[in-house]
Amino acid sequence: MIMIRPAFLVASAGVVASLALTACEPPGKPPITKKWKAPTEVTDFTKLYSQNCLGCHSLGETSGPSLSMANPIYLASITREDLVNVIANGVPGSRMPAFAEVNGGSLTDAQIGIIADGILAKRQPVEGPVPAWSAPLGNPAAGQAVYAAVVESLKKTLPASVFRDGFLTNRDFLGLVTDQYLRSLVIGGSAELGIPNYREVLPGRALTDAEIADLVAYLSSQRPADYGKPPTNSNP
Amino acid sequence: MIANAKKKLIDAGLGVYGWIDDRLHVTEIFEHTAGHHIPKSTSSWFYVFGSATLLCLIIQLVTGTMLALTYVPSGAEAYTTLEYMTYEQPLGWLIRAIHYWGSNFMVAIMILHITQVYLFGAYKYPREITWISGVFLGLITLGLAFTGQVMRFDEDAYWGIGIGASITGRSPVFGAELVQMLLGGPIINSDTLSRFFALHVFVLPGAILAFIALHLRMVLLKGINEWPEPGVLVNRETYDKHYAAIIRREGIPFTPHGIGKDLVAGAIVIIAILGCALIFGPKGPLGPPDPTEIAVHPRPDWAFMWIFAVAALMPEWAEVPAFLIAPPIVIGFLILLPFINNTGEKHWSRRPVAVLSVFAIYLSLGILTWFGITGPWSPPMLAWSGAVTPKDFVVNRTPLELQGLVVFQQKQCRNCHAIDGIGGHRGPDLWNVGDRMTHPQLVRQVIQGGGNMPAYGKNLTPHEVEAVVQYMVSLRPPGNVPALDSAKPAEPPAENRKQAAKEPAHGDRG
Repeated sequence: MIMIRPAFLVASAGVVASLALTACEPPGKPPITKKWKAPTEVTDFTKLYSQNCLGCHSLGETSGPSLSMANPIYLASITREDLVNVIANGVPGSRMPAFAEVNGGSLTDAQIGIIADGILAKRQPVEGPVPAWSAPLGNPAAGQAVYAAVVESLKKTLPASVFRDGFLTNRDFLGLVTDQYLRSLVIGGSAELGIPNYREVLPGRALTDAEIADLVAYLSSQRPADYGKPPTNSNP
Repeated sequence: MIANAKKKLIDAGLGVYGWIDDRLHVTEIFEHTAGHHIPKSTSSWFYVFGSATLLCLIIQLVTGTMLALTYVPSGAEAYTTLEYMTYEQPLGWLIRAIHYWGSNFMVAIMILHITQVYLFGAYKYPREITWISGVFLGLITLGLAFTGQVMRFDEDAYWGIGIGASITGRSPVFGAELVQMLLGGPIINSDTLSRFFALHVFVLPGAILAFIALHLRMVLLKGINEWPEPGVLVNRETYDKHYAAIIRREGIPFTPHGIGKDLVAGAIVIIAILGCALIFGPKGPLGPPDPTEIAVHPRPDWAFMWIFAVAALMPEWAEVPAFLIAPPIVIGFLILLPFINNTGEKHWSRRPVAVLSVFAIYLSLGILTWFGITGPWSPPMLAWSGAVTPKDFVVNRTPLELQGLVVFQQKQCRNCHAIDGIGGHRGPDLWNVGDRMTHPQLVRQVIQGGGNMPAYGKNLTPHEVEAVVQYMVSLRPPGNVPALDSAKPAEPPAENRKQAAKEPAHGDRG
């Protein structure tokens, strides 16, 4: 019978443990993915979008207070150039900030490109042409009638509470959004507001290009002229 | 033949040993140190914490030396060498992890050692200097832990030094000069790291070895504290004879008869440190020490977490008393303790104040540490652009209310205020704010601030204020009416219900 000395057993266990240590990956060994990355080095679209955009702009699975980037009509209407421009430079007169480093934001040009491409990659085929993303304002007087028809249609589906305080003609609301926002809202609709896109907002037919321009012109005409200026101080 | 050779070999070995012993007095040194006699009652598990702390120090010295072979203590290279050790150098991460966990265990076991010594009355006559040297050892150990945290030259280290410098700067008369001395300049820079490196690697280890020498010398001179017995009082006139009688009656040599439990405890400590290192790994490095990087959540290591919580929770007027007046008083009290309470009972069952004070200190430090770990001290700086709002708090709102949420995000309210748990937690969660604050109250709060919230009156247009307040009024549990003005007569319930029907609350469905 072969006698095994305890010292030999301990030494063997030590060798095996050492081999195991070098061969396997203990849970405490930090993976290279944990290495700190400068915010400007992040190139993953999901991470970039969830850190910089998702709070306001839904991607379909969540809700957001501003325009959804999962809206197929909106995505069909906007070009990459316009999208990059909006992200990089923001939208003056609205709450959309400029994200480009050159404008004081936190994103590099490459990261803005990744976000734009990631959003546009979610484009889905849309039947027929869609109105241009941007266009001149139409006739406000004609737009008033279009607005009345749209509200009439929406009242059949939306709760009455949504129409409080002037709905889309509320002066504070109009003071906070641009004409471009209004046009995008009319064209693409808003799941959060319960407003269908321009093709479904009226029963039986889509809004025409002219009606869209007129409707936006009407809403724009309701915007208070003194918006953005500090209140006049009447005291001496 | 073989037996004869073996005998000759042993004789030769003994001869060599005898020659050495005759000159170096090894046997005598052994009998006065490792072989010294201890009361048999102290061969207990309660008496292993001192040797376990010393073992941790040895581990720290060995792993620290190994780390010093690679670590470059310059502001420009410290962070990159840490990254190299952690992610590229073979087993570099393990050495870092053992050093980190060794530090944690050293502080924790030292606290247990101090607690045991205090509860066993070991600081009393004639072991005053043993206790005082122990107090200095405790302070040096904490100094090593803090400077070690600075060696991990990342965002935690940067802001840790910043807080330390801020506390130092509050010193009267010489505040600015002390900060200059601490940082090596007016700001945190490469000289700062060099100073902390010198402290961590030369000054404090040297000091701790010197005090350990004194501490152990005192243990050998005055003996290890016997297991206290209720009713056996320490008397300066009789204690020395009493202790000598104990040693005569039941004394055993520490080595080999009393060291067994220390060796087992040491093995357990080594296994625990190795286990934690292998399972949890090293800490950091987190982000680089860059003050322009604001999306950070700096926190000190656990031993200082309670100080972090105190600093965050206390009012401004308490800063100088808490950081400059209290520490000298506490340290002074610890040093004077053996003189204040020099004789009498040692047994914990006869010292209720000692037991209660230990309980109170553990409880308060534990709670403060918990607050330090869990408290939302730093706002999530990307919540404004990344925190999602749950669907119930978005849908069925007016266009103005929805723009209010946009303003809420864009003005970074979300960094401090969560909605239904998502977002910052510096301020209250606003999921039901419309239920408890009226429209005018919200307008006032937004414009004037108050209760830690800054005033936003100059940063918001009237339209933005109206939008964000309208949105907040809509944040209330389903079916609830907006908060009522308590100065006005309440409306009849039916009217309330009608009002509730007019205005939506989150969760309402059309």
